[in-house]
Amino acid sequence: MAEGHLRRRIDGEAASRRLRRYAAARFEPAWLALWAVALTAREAQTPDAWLLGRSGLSRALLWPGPLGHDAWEYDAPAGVETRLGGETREAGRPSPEAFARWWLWERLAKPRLWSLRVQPATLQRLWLPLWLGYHQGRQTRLIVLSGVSGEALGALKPAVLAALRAEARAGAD
Amino acid sequence: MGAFTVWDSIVLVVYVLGIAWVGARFGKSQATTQDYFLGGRRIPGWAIGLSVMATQASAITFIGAPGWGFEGGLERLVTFINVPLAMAVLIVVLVPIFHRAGIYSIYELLERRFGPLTRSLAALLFLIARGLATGVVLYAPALVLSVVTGWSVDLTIVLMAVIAVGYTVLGGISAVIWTDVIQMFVLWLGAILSMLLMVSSLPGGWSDVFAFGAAHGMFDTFDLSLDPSVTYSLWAGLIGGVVMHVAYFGTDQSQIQRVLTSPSIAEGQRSLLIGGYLLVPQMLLFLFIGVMLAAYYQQHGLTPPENLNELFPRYVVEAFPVGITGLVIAGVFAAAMSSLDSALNSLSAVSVRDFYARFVRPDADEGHYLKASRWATVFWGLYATLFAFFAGNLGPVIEAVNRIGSWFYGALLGVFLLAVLSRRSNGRGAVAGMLLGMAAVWAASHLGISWLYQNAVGLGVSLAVGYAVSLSAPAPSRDQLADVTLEETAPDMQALLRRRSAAATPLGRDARVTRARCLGLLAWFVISLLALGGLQLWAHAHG
Repeated sequence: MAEGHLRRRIDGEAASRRLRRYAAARFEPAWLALWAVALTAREAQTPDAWLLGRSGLSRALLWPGPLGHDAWEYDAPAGVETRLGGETREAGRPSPEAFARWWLWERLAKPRLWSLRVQPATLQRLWLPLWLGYHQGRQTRLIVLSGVSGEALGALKPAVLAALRAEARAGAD
Repeated sequence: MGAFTVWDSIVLVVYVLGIAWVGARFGKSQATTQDYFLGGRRIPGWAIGLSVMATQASAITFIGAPGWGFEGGLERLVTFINVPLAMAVLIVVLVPIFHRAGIYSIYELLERRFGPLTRSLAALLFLIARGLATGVVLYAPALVLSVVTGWSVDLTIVLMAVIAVGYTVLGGISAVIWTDVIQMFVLWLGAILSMLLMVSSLPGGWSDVFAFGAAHGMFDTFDLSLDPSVTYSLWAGLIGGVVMHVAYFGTDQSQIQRVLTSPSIAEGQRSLLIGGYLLVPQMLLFLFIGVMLAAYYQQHGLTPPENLNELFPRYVVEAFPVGITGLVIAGVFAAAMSSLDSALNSLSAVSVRDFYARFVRPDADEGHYLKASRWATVFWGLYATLFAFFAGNLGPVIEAVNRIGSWFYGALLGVFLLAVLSRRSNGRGAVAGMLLGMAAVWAASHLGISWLYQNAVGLGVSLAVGYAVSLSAPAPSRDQLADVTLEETAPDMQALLRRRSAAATPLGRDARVTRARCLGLLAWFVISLLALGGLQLWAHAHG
């Protein structure tokens, strides 16, 4: 089972510009471990898209198009960046049924691509680059920005917070 | 001129087939797969916004609003003047919460917060209300077809229902954002062309229209009466209308589904923005056509049709040049299909996800759920068809849709606001608030107050009763509040985030895009108000 890192396309400068719009005062890069399965119309076909998720998320992320080598790399990037949710090889791994169900609801909500099916054999771990922004008001708030698209990914926030807590606990032990 | 000719029929058929071809061709390509997943991120924002508008209201606006304008001038614009405010509320309050919760149907949020009964009740209300409103949406193109062909409207309703259900079950042919954009432009083209034709047929041109409008009080948009029985007073539009539109765009699955399925919060907010800016001008355009039609009918000594919904389609058929009539009627058709497709699809999705997959067959395979969703579409098509037979008796179609919503929307919005804004409210309070909120709307409907206020009555009662009854049961657990409160507010999380933040790289001044978006909508609301007020003052000075 391969493991890769999605290429970070939003650099620090672009991320800081975007995070300022969300009233963030400070920011840092991070990586979150997700699990990906391919979506194809036929088994041996090049994937039309990928579904990215981890247990505990209520819905999966969609990666349109194939995950070619322009999109990801095997090696971990150089530099000391926070890596979240990858404590063990199997951490956060959803079952194939969970992926199938996520995809079913996705299609019912937006039913145009019924022919695509989840291919469980393609399951692999992928590290998603993130930018974590911190807004300092009465309370400190977290803003999770995709390091690939630069969009705020509110749906990933529970997973990031849980992983930050787990990391802090592991550090304390 | 004067009839729907063979050439018009050819244009209609070619247009519909052309839209189908564009949909089918792009629907299969990889480019569209990308657009599908990304919510059309590579397509300009204005096109996405127009596409949202096409599914929201275009066909019934085309048919209903001129009837409104003919009858009451611009007075009913107050029903829509509040849309920028409603969109601002949605962008700030509801969209970020819905997105963060990662839900497919908004009623899921109610289950996580209040339990399964509240979710089922809210979803059931949606199914009943949207199913009825879909009947009205079905009636609109059927009426056009009836006017064009001279066939009975009952026959055309059945015909349109078969086409709409077939279209939805087969996956929709107008899947591409650009086909919706084409439809919007065709409808607007039809509207502008009809204005030019009408003006050219009046001896005094525009001055006749303005003189007629001013003399008959048709530019009186704002009635400042505080009497709650005045249906279209400014206050009814502001108080009741804001509630109605926040509820309509925020708690009706057929409207919010596109926001939920957009890949990011910002994209979801963007899809609401263009409606916030364009719905009022669009409504003004079609109401103004109604005013022009009134002047046209008076000057030509014509008798208007008994059913004012027929007014504009009839004018298009009688006055437009050969070929253009076919094009505009085809635009109405295609836009109606787009609205029906999205309504039937959301009804089917809620039936399967909120009921069938929970209570009937929780562990079936995907193929089974696909079949179930198709049968659900057929069922809702039949339900809407039955109601469409009565839709003609409900007055202008656009008002009929809003009136149906008013029975439920206020109470439903109250429960969502309880879920989001109050940490003390619970399932018992939510159910009581929803039921008593609707009972209050029913009672209010017998008091002779404006139907627009019914939304505010439903909201107020459901909030007050919901909160009060909640006090009789234990407060919700932290887990139940997880979707609507921020987990980072817990003390241990705050300490952790402060530590991390202190070690992170500092940023400069913030820009706060969401706030800027809402300020733009508020400014637009004020500008609309001032412009319409100015027109009213001018009309009084010259009337």
